[in-house]
Amino acid sequence: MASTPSGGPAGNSPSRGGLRSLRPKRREPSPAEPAERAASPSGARGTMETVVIDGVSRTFSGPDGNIAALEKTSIIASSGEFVTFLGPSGCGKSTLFNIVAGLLPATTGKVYIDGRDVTGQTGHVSYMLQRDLLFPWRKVIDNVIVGLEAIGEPKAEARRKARELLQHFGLGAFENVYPQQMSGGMRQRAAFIRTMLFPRDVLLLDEPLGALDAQTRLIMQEWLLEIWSEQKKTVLFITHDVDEAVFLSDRVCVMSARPGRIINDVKIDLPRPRTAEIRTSPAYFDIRSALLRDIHGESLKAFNEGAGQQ
Amino acid sequence: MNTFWRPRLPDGQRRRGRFATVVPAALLLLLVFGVWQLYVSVKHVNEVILPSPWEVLHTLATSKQLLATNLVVTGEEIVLGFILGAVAGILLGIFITYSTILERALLPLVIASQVIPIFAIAPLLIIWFGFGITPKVLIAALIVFFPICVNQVEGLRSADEGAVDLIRSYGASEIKVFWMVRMPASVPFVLAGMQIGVTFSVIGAVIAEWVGAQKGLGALMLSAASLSNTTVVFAAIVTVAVVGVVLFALVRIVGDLLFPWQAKPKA
Repeated sequence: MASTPSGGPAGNSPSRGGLRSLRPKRREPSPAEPAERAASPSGARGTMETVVIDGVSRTFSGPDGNIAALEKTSIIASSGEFVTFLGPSGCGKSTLFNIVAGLLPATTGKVYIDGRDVTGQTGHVSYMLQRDLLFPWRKVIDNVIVGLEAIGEPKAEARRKARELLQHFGLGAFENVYPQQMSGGMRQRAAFIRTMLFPRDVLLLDEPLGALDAQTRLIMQEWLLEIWSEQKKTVLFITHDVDEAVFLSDRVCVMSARPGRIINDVKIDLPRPRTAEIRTSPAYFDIRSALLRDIHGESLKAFNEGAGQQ
Repeated sequence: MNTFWRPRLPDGQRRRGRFATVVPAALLLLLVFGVWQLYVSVKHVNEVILPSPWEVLHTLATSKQLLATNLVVTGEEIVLGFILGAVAGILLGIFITYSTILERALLPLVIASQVIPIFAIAPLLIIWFGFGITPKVLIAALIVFFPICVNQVEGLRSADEGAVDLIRSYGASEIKVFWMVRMPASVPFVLAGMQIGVTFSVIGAVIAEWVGAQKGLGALMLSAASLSNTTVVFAAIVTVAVVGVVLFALVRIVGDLLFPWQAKPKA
């Protein structure tokens, strides 16, 4: 089991009793976490700590010495939790995700998934990068199985699973279509199904809806929530859209301008399942206003810094 | 004008468009032949200096047998040279991309092989490998591999780094990254290189025959020229040209059939 993260927002980690925290972990259950612990009602320690980011930081060496992209960041996400990182562009959110995915070495800190130290290791999460990255040489069905193929699953079996998922999520008709023949929204859906099909309990979604127009985006948020509530996976999500963060998340971590660090960890106490109506509720508005204040200050800092550099 | 022949064709009618693109070329060719024929008829040019297109056409028909037997020889050289050159180009391209040492070792040699005139190398290869098919195939391959090799390198490097990251994030090995991302990404590049390469193969085979051969369209050109049989020279040239155009189109058509995702409707 991971050591307690230093100075992290562990205390803020909500214990959400009820169904979601009872979900059995599918991969390598740690003996240190018997099932009854998951149901215990108190604090972060009592929930299943699926993702532990412990003092992770990253500095890049530039021509004028070292540049800190990400200051020491610690966070714990429990099983089935939807945690969003909200911050201005260039605040190191993607850097954090690349470290968690094992694509980028951390300057300091450790990453644990299901209690295992996976720092610098790939293959432990299902990562959805900003662009859909669908391969033009593969039809949709063969695009969504790339994760399974990458870990050596036989194609026929992978296709069978993919077909099921595509049909279930309304893309059955697009199975044999090339991505270049699809709209942006459809492509993003296919990319998301690709992410879901990779058999990992932790999803990293880096601004998956960023490229979509406002209307499609709202629809996709609802679609995404629907799937998430069905598939019961832990989601780490990046966005700079406050509304998106509030609507989707259990928790929102507000990040500062570069160098990035978590300046606020806010629990989103809105009932689930969430539908479009919730966007107009007073509770939604209160959370949104508070977050907007936080993020506006940081965006302003990032903006002024950018102006000062020129 | 292409836009005139291919106005807003819906997807299903692309085939008709393909024929339409042939029409301007055919018209231009007819025009050239017309002017040529007119010039020869009006000026009464000697057949040994410049035969008329009609005479060339006539010879193409009457010497069918002669041209066909020689075409088979040259065709074999062209095809084998192309295949050998393509395989070598693809493999070298992969090696150069993946190994800095190999890049440093091979690149100067690869470039040198293209700078030295093929006429200088051809006699050597004939001394080493005799008058059979081998030196011809090697000479063709030697000029075929270059554009394919360069495009293979460029294609592998063109792969989207985001896509590479995605596959790596699944815990895939670099070999998987190669087969799943880099190689497919290089396909359009390699196909373009192959189109250039196949025309080079025609040139290589004909030049190799000039240096030393009894059979083949290149050898036929030489022997006909030495007998002042200019009409046959022209017939051989036309045959070679047609072979080049057909092979060029064939590479594209086969490429589009094998990799339909990269087939573009020609603008």
